[in-house]
Amino acid sequence: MRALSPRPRRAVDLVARLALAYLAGLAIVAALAPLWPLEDPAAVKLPRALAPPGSAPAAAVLAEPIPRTGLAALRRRLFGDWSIGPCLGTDDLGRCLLSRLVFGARVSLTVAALASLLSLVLGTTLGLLAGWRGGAFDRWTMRVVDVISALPMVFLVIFVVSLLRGVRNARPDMDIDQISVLLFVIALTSWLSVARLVRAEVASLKQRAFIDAAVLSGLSERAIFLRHLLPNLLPIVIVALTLNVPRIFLFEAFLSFLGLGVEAPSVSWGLLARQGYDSLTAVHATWWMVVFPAAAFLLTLLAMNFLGDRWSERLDPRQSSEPVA
Amino acid sequence: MSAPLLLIGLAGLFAWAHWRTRRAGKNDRWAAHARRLAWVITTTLAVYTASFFLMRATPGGPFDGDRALAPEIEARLRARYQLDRPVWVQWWNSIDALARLDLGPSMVLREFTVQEILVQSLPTSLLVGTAAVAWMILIGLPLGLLAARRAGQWPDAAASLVAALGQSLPTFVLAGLLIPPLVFGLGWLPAAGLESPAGLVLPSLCLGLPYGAQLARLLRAGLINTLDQDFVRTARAKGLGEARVISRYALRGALVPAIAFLGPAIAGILTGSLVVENLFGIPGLGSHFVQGALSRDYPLALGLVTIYTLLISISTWICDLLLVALDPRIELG
Amino acid sequence: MSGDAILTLSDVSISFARGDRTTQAVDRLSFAMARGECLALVGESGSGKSVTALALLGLLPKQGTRISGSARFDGAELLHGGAARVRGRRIAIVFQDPLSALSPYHRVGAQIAESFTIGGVATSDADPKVIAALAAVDLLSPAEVARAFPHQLSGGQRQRVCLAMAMACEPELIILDEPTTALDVTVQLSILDLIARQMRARRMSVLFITHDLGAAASLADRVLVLYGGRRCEWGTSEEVLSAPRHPYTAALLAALPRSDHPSGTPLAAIPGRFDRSSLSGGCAFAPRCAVAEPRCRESRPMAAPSAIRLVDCHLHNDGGGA
Repeated sequence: MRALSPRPRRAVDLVARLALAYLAGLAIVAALAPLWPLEDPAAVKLPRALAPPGSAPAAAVLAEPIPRTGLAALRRRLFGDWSIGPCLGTDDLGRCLLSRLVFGARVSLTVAALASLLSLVLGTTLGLLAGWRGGAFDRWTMRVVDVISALPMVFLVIFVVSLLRGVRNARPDMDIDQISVLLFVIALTSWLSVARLVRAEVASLKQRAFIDAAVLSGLSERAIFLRHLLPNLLPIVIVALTLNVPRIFLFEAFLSFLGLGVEAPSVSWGLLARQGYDSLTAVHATWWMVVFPAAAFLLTLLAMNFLGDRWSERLDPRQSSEPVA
Repeated sequence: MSAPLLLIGLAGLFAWAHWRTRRAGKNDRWAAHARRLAWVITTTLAVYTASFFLMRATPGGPFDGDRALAPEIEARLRARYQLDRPVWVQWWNSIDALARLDLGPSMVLREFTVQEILVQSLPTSLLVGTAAVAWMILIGLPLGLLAARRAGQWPDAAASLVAALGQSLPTFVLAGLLIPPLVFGLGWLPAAGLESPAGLVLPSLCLGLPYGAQLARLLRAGLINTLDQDFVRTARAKGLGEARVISRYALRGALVPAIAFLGPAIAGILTGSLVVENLFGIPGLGSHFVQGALSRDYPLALGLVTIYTLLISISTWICDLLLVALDPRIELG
Repeated sequence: MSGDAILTLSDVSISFARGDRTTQAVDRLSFAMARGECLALVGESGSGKSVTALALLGLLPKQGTRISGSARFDGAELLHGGAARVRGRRIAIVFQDPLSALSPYHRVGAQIAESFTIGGVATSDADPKVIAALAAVDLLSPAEVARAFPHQLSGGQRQRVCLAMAMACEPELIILDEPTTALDVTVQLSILDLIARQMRARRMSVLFITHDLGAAASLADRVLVLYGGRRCEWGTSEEVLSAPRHPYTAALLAALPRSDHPSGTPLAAIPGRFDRSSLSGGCAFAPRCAVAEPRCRESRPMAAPSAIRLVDCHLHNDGGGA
């Protein structure tokens, strides 16, 4: 956020550091989800359905069969059967909300990270080639990018997702993993902006004197590419990444919320938000099922947006909206 | 035979634009409009075609439900929806129908044709969408102005904080947070339906608020930027009052990025309408699209993808026109 | 000074605070300007000429700007908010870069018409007036120019538009802030010529801000040389430019290329460069002055008020000058 200016730089950097720490912490917690003393996110315990935070007893953890290796085994060795319990309450099937949030973060962040990475690789490659080669290749690549970005991608993605579900229904033998399909489809729709940014940057780098100098000194094209172009592209690629991650993160949540993304028994934050929403009635006040996923979204998106703004501001101080005089 | 007519008309439009450009120069407005219209139609046809073949290329359909249909019933159904003909014949026939604005029967809501569903739901969706845009402006404009005018002071910090929060609360999360207090707690607003005008408030607010927050941030940055420019100083030097300097000069410059944002915002609001209509039980395009996608009602989904393509193309077109009207240095491409 | 002064500045100081750094842009500047005269404010960039002009019109940003002293226009105080009443009505300004000074979003005619409205004339009859105003600044097809947007005009045309806009309300004082710096040399000459003619025809007082001594000589009745936000020398342009008494003015003039020198003669340059941080209690020019004495670094020279010639230099003042 370049908002809240003009503040002392130090305060901005402190918030940026906090945001980074939060995201890193979230990533670690999510990546090591099976290690923590949490209940099974899918274990249905109807007697304690819709228990408010902290009120229900922790259920004994008896994952069957007991795993011998991996994080789950380590967890067993460290904590035994003990679990924190549903301190954030339970859902309508008595499942621990805290555990579902942690395991949901795992899915949501994985999709966001992998899809961004994939779109980054795709976009950078094409943008790099188009910018470096120039000429007809450049013109046509960018033409294609323009045409594709005029399409209503979200609707096409939903259409494709529904088709794939049809395929899965008709041919259960094909074993389509919904999450990886989602990941690929989202990645395929988000590389356009990356390609544009990278192409523009390469085209301007090409005009600079140090590239000319490298060419004149007889460096091979490959060496120029690796040693001079790529390092200079890094900042703009990071900008593209920081812009893409929250967008993709939201897109997955959006699809899951509509019931077109991640499906049970997997959990994702979008699914949890949906569950919370569906639990709302005039009779029950199941606030925890709404508030905790909402807080998770809010904090994560705030952190992502703040870091993204901060990074692009650092690259281009002119864009900073700090009053000049 | 409407499809050949459509294609000939399309080619004619491109040809006319080309001819006009050669005669009247590169910046001719009519040529630009003709080319734009031709591209809108081309894009729509391309999206339709791509979706059509994707649909036909994948196995599975609306008829393979839980209960297997008797072979003769399924054959009759397939015949009714022309699924027994070769794919390219089906495609040509459907393009032909599309040119007559006939999108065929829905496969799940069997009493209805797709265009009947469209005619019923489009006004509803446009109403919700317009209300959302109104919320966006109602929230974004004052917030952005306040923040820019008091840049660096506490109103700026407060407005920016609100904008940052709004931007990080997606529509589907916002709905869950607003419904308990406003609907169940205070009972001010109905939980679902559009029977009363009050029913419009919550869905459009959830839809418009995140974009209002972004608009506020854009306006703030744009206004701070233009307030600092020489022509604003000239306007002050002319002796104009502060209100006139801002409304006539500074705001004009700040509106350019804001209007440029309007195109993506409208696309985003259309996307968000899928969630909102689904949540609030509003019988608009979005809820039908989600239903169509979930129940694999392909003709319905196909028709709606096509309509969405058209809606988005046309709204970007209008935004470009607004931009050109706002900043004479921008030319129609 | 003269009783018929249209503009009198006394001890005007302007400083900008940014963070914990304060920059003194104008330091106790005093001068007076008679009605109907053209005074050239001459100095290099950073000497405080433009800042002075902006301050007179109240156009400096309020945040972080500190202004002290007094500037009276026809007896009324301009500083501290007083300028808002007269700017655009009795005082007009033309800025350096005509492209950025004109709004890119409005037609030229509409921007000029606005000046008429402010002058108390209704907008309805503004159109013929606008075209007359554009014709008065020698624009060939004024009706076409009125319909154009600034980006469709050439640099010279734009500056003529700015002049027309400034003169629209028949101001008594017009401030020209480097009006020709952003233009081509040939265009500069025709604009200067236009200004000279208009000045005489309308009997306006002109505050002409420039770094171009030649332009100052051709246009101005009197010249005020500024250095580092301080006055160096004030007098009639003939006297100051032909017989400079302040070492800075002399050095500036010596640095001009001259046609009577044989070709190949190197241009004289002033050694060193202006450094705001070296400003102290002494003369601002002392660090670069060829004839500076120890006292020049210790006490600031201030000429005693006189109606003919002011030279803020110790050496001049005890040398029994003017």
